[in-house]
Parts: sequence; C-alpha cells; structure tokens
Amino acid sequence: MGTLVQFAAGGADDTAVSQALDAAERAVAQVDALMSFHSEDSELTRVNRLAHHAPQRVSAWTYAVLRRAQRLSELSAGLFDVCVAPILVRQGLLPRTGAVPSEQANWRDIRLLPDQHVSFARPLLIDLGGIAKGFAVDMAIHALRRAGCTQGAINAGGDLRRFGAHAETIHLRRGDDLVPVAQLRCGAVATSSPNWAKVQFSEGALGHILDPRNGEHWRGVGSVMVATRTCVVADALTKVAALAGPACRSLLERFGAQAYWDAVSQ
Amino acid sequence: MVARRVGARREYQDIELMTLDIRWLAPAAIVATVPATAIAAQYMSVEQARALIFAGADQFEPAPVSLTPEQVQRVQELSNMRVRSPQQQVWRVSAGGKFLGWFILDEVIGKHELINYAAGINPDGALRQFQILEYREAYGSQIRYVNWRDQFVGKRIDSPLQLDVDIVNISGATMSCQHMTGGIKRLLALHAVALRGTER
Repeated sequence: MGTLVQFAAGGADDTAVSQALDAAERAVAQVDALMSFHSEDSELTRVNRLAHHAPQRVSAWTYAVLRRAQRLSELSAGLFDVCVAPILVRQGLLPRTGAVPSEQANWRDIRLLPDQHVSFARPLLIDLGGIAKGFAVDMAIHALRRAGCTQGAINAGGDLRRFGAHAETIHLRRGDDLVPVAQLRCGAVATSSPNWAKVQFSEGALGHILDPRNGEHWRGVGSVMVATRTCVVADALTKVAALAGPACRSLLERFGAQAYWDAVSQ
Repeated sequence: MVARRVGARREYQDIELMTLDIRWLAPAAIVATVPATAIAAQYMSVEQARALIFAGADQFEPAPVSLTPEQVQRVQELSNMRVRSPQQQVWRVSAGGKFLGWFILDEVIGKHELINYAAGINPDGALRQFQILEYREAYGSQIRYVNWRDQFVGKRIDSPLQLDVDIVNISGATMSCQHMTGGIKRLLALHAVALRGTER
C-alpha cells in the first residue's frame, strides 16, 4: 500500500507468535490486494470501472470499509468523502484510469446494496486511501488477537494500533525532530501531516488532504492526530479533524475519539 | 491470498470491543472532551529522576539548605540570577557509604509557567545531569531532550553557561532555554556558596 508496515507481537509461545505475525501480514496484504486504487486487478478497480453500469459484488472486507466510509461521510456532512479521486487524478496525484469520472460525484452517489453489492449513480472513482490503511491495521491486530497474542502493535506509516499491558510512546514528526506526544497502551492513533506527502504546486507547498467542499487542498500547517479504539475510524477522522479543526469536536465525541492539533510548523 | 471464512462484520464487532487507553504528553494538546487549558505534562517522578541521575545510589539523605541573606546575595552575584527563595531541597547522595554528590529539586519560570526539574551535582562541583520533572508551557518542552540537556554535563560555576555561547538555543523555546540555563547556573552557585566543604 505504498507504505512501510511494521508488525510486533508478543505471547507465551514463540511459534504461535510467529504464525500470528504471518497472519497479520497476510491480512494487510489482502486489504491492499482488494482495495488498491493503483492496482489494475484489485476489487476496487473493478468497482470503479463497472459499478455505474451494473451492481458489483465485493468481498466482505471491502463492503465493510465502504459502509464505514459512508457512515463517516454522513456524520461529517461530507467532509470525509472517498469520491475526491477524480480531482486527485486530474492533478496527477493518482494514476489516470480509463473511466471518465464526474468531479461532481460524491459519497451520496455510492449505493450499498444488499448481499455485498455496490453500484454507482453516475461514473465516479472511489479512492480508499484515507481509510483502508487503518482498516488493514485493524485486521492485522485482529489476526494477532485471534492467534492468542497478549500484546501487539501494527504501524502502517503513522496509522498505528496496539494492545497489551505496556504503553508505547507515540511520536510526532516536527521538521527533523520526533516529539513524544502520547502514551498509548491500547487503541489506535492516526496522523495526518502535510509534511509527509507534500506536493509542490505553483502557489506553494500543499498537503495531500483534499477538501471535498471546494476541491482544494488542506493548507494547514503542522499535524493532526486522532486517537480512538479502531484504526479505521482514526484514519478517516484525521482528515475531518484536519479540515474542520476543533469544530468537529462533537463528531469526535460520537466516535469516542480524541484529537490533537499540533499547530507548530516545522 | 487466504480466503476468509469469518465475515468482516463479526470480526469488526470483536475488535471494536477493545478500549482506548491513551495519555497525551504534548503540552499543546487540544483534546476533544478535555478543556484546552493549562495542560501540564509530568514527565517523571522525583524517584525516577533520582534513579536516572544517580544510578546505583543507595542513600538519599535530606540536607535542606536555608540560605542566609548574605548567601543569597553571594549566589546572585555568582550566577547573575535572582534567588526567589532562600530554601532549597537538597539531598546528600551516597552509594555504599561513598559520597556521590548532591541531588537538588528546583524550579524556574519557563515563559509563563513553572518548570520543575531535578539536578545532580558531583562532589567536585560539576553538574552531573538534570531532568525535567514537570513542564506546563504550551511550547518549548524540547528542553527535556537528552541532547539539549547533555550540553550541561560537566559545567561548573566558572563556565559561561550562556545561550549561544556554550549552550545551544532551541528555536521556539528560547525563554525556556534561557531560564533553564540560568537555573542550572544558580544551582552551581548555590553549591559553591552553601554546599562546598560540607561533603564530610
């Protein structure tokens, strides 16, 4: 998924832990195989090509991510939207595909039908880049727990989740420094920072978070961290927290989430 | 890829049962559900600081200092820092009967708020190490980074102890750096005035 994923686990039996880590890696690989925007043969690519012609059946995992994305879109009044891909494609941030998507399309044009079927009301492109990584971390954590690990930690390039008896210090990159910002024992933390995926446009450095309301890039400085129980929600909520700022407090509370806005620029 | 027999929804419910247990350290944290005012970060306890500064020590004997007005004057002259209180919490530290140095609790003002810290001074009057215990400012907590604090190791009362001279400043944390440096200088002066010669 274009990012380095770190796996760590502990338990009573080394062999079992080793197998658990293998299962966790497979879970991450599977999420990537299903939901990659870049891959020609992912399930997501098939949906993007065909779902405006006919309902497409998808895996339980892809369906679960889409359901979660729709719920977040609804509760955030569209601040989180997996349909901003056409703009990203036009700007060269995502690869061009054969489809001619509508830039006006939004999350309301995605229809989640019974029996894990998905259809589009008009041609659109879904990009799960803002949520699938968190889901992959959750599935990997689940694999560790199911295998009986007593502690575990998965970190997919800043989207991380852990469980166990011991707390881990979470650091935030501030320029060249790593600043300790939290002690996480159990739960998920996701970080969005314009410093990580900076794209240079004529008007200056811009982040990689797109505001669905106007198609513009988030111009905030610093980073946003969201902590909650699951990484899929933390991952998605960082985008909302970045765009909305502390005004999204009630939404965060609804998900039992806590946010940290690091206003210090590098 | 391995086919999944368990539906995602069921797995999903299982993992959502897990709780969130997080403690924010960043003083600038604006955390939903917590008012964004005066968030203090306690970094370590006095006991932890003792163990870090004087590893292996087995005795911390209280040796509180109460400076006379003349001593206050002398400390201020030596350090060029104001002495806000004549009282100072000091411990005489030893390991197996061997004197290791002095352990001192102190505080300085950062920009607006107090910074609590602990310092160790060697028998020869050189700074052993210091640790930030509690920091309350919104910014500048980088002063607790080890590479910044390490600059002070071995400093003596005759060291310049000045920002941009023998102590590197941290941009964005100038006030905290300045006051922390002054605090160390004041403790070294306190040692020269009130502790030197009382080692036994």
